Amino acid sequence: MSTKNNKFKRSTIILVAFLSFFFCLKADQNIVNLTSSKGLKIKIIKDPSSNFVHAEILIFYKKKIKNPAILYLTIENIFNKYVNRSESRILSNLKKLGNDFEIINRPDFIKIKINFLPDKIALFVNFLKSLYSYRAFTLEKFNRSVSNFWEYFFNNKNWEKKIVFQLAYNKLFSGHLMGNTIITKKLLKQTYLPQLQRFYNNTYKLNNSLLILKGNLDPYMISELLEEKFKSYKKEKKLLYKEKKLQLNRQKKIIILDINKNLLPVVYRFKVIPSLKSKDHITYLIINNILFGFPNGKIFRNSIYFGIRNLKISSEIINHKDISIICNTIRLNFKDIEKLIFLEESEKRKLKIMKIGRNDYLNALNYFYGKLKVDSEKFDNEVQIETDKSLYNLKNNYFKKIPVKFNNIIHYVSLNELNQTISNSITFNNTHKNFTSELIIIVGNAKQILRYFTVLKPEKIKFIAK
Amino acid sequence: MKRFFYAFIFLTFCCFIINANTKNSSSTNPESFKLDNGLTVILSPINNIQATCVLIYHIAGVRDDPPEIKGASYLYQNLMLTGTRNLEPYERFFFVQKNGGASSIKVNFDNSISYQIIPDHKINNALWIESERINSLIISDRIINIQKNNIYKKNYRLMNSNIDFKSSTWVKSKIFEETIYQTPIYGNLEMIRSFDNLSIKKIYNNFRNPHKIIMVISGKFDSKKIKKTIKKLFSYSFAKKKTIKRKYTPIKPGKKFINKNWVIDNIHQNSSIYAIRAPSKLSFDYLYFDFIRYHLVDPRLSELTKIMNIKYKLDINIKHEYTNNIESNALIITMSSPKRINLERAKFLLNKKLQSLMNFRISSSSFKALKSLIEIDFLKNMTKLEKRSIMLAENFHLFGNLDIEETYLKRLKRATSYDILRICRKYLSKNNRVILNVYKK
Repeated sequence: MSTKNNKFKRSTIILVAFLSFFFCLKADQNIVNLTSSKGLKIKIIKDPSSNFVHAEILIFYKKKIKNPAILYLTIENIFNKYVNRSESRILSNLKKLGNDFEIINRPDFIKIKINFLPDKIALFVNFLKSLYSYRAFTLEKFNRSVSNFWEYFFNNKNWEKKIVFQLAYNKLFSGHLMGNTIITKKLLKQTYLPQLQRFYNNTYKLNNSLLILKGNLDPYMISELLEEKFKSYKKEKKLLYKEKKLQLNRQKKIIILDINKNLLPVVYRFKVIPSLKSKDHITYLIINNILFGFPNGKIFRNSIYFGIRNLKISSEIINHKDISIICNTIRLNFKDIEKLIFLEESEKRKLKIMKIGRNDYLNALNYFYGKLKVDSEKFDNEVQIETDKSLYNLKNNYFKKIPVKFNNIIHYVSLNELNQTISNSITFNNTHKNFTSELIIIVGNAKQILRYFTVLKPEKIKFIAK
Repeated sequence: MKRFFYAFIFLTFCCFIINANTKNSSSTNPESFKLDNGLTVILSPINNIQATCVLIYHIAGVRDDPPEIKGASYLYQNLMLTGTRNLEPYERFFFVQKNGGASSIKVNFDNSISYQIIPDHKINNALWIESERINSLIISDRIINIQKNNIYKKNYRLMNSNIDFKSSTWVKSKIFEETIYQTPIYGNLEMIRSFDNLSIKKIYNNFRNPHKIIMVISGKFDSKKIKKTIKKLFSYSFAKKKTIKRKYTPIKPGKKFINKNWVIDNIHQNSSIYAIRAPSKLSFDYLYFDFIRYHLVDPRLSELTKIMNIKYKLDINIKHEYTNNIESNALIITMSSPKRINLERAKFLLNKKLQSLMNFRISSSSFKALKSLIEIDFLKNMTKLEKRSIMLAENFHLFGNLDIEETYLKRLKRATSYDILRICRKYLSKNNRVILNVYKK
């Protein structure tokens, strides 16, 4: 009897030990990757301290669509409350979730960001169901979205920036899916409702999407909810599209986007750099910071010697699968635009001859190191990292991970590598294999801008919306 | 062997418990303490991030200015960025920028807030920079004169060329009539340039007074080390004057309806500005009024947009502003349209909406959506270091406690549509409104 008891005790203890180990290991797994039986990829970032859930749904555009109005109008027909006068099931579900959502339309995918409370997870799954089985395209809504297209477009706070980015992508990647961005009156006329429905049916599919959730969530409960909700959803074969290789227009161009307003001009300076996958990506970011950083960058520091005053510079990076784009936004006076373009060329020339100094190099690294740490306070920071990892198949996401010590960051890019890249790429000579596209778009009143141009001859594009 | 076996199991259990605890406690409860000189410190650690926010909340603002230089504190919004004993002008701002962070200084009527969000390893530098700002700001007559001129020129230009600015200033002066918020934050425009420089310099003591400072450190930091550093840098002595604790009295809704028309040349749009006096931050009504604000004007759930632009297609541009005062606030709604007829219809619809809010409860579905959105916004703000710190400091200043999250959520959950109806009846009455119509000639 006693041996039986002992055996029982021992086996219980072993079981408890095993379970403890299992839970120890499981507790460490903050990110759970799942794929539903219908092909939806799911990533769940467990954050027990979070009292709300942040969700991002990415739907990829894979097939080349010649008419960008189709992509845009599909979103308008589904999500725009002005187009949907009576509340559709999608909009009503969103309202029940709190209506805290944002739609980001990119040339290669659409991203839907939603915040909601954890007790509304079932409602969120309902929303997903209504998103992937949308049947409420009507001619009335379609006509409304076409006829009021510009009115709705100007309701966007950042419509001006949107136009600039559309123009930039069109100039940088003409002939590729990524360059199909500009919507004109003619294109709107050539768009019909069946095209939208066909596009929706081909694109808004579970096996063409990625769902990322962050919050205090039980991954397996969510998985079950999704399986239950999409039980009747037809599983489709994943269509493989042959992607056309991205062709860059290797040239340098200056364009004035003539928007008739009296505010100060804004200069958007685009540069295409290697994608996140490449180690060179960081090299280019550092070089950009050495030139355009605020207040450490050479351009800001030396602007005063060129008589440029009140310069404000900000930079953002937009990542795509094969390339990344740096956009430096510069606000300045009309009379200083040409000077700024010359200053940039002169600073690049100097960098090439005199090489990057150790101080500038360390300052740039210090900035990135600090920025990575500061960004960690954003509630969607981890979601962005996971999105990038999935989108660009990253194994080493160099600058997204926070290095433990400052010394570690130096190992990513050395000063020598930086100078090597500079001597290869920063030239006027656009025949070099490492040369990447550059584009300057100046937004403002063209008459006033051109008055101060004495040497350069920019191309002028008039913006006519209606 | 047996002992080893049991020890192993015991350790595994400990590991599991520790692991589970650390995972769940990314942020711990805030704690507060006082330095010997009277300066209050709040520490709010969050362990799963690598950034820190150093926020200094001064219980000093424009309301503390002597009457003859009312608005002088506002000059400190820029004067605070000037040089100190060891720092060049704007070096504080550049330090934050160079390290990928963000910073701001804002002087309000009731308080002044300065913060830096920096990577956690720079916290000592950030604290030192703040101690320099509090202890050794160099304010010369030349700098004061420059700032006086800048503020005068900027606001003079706005008053004479920007009709939105001019009308908003007028509406605020009327809705806050006979309160401390009546004059603009920069004071009387004609007086600014004649402010006495010596009196302006004396105001610096308001910002230095440790009894009037609440410092909040939130984010990642080592509590023991930070306490030592704070004690070392901020235990300065300050001439002991008896600091009279400011008493706040919530201001009641207005009792006079004001309606004014301006007819102006050379404007492209007709506009109508509605100002409604809103509750004090001290009152429970403040939270309930948020329901009305969200319901009417928040772009995500705005009923006004739905009625005017979706249902009646009036193409009205709706903007809103909500003040950030302690004793009384105002919700200012601006509607504009190039067509006068559309604006008149919009005004009619707004009046009707306000009337219906006073008569009937908000529908249950709308109320639920509003409640969710307000809760989401609050929780999102709690994840942002600067907003979290401001809320902590303000709550400690007004109510003396630190458990904002629990208190706020409890009160929010208890709110019912009847509470909202009561608040609508109290604050949306005609006598609590100021309307300014700006028409093109």
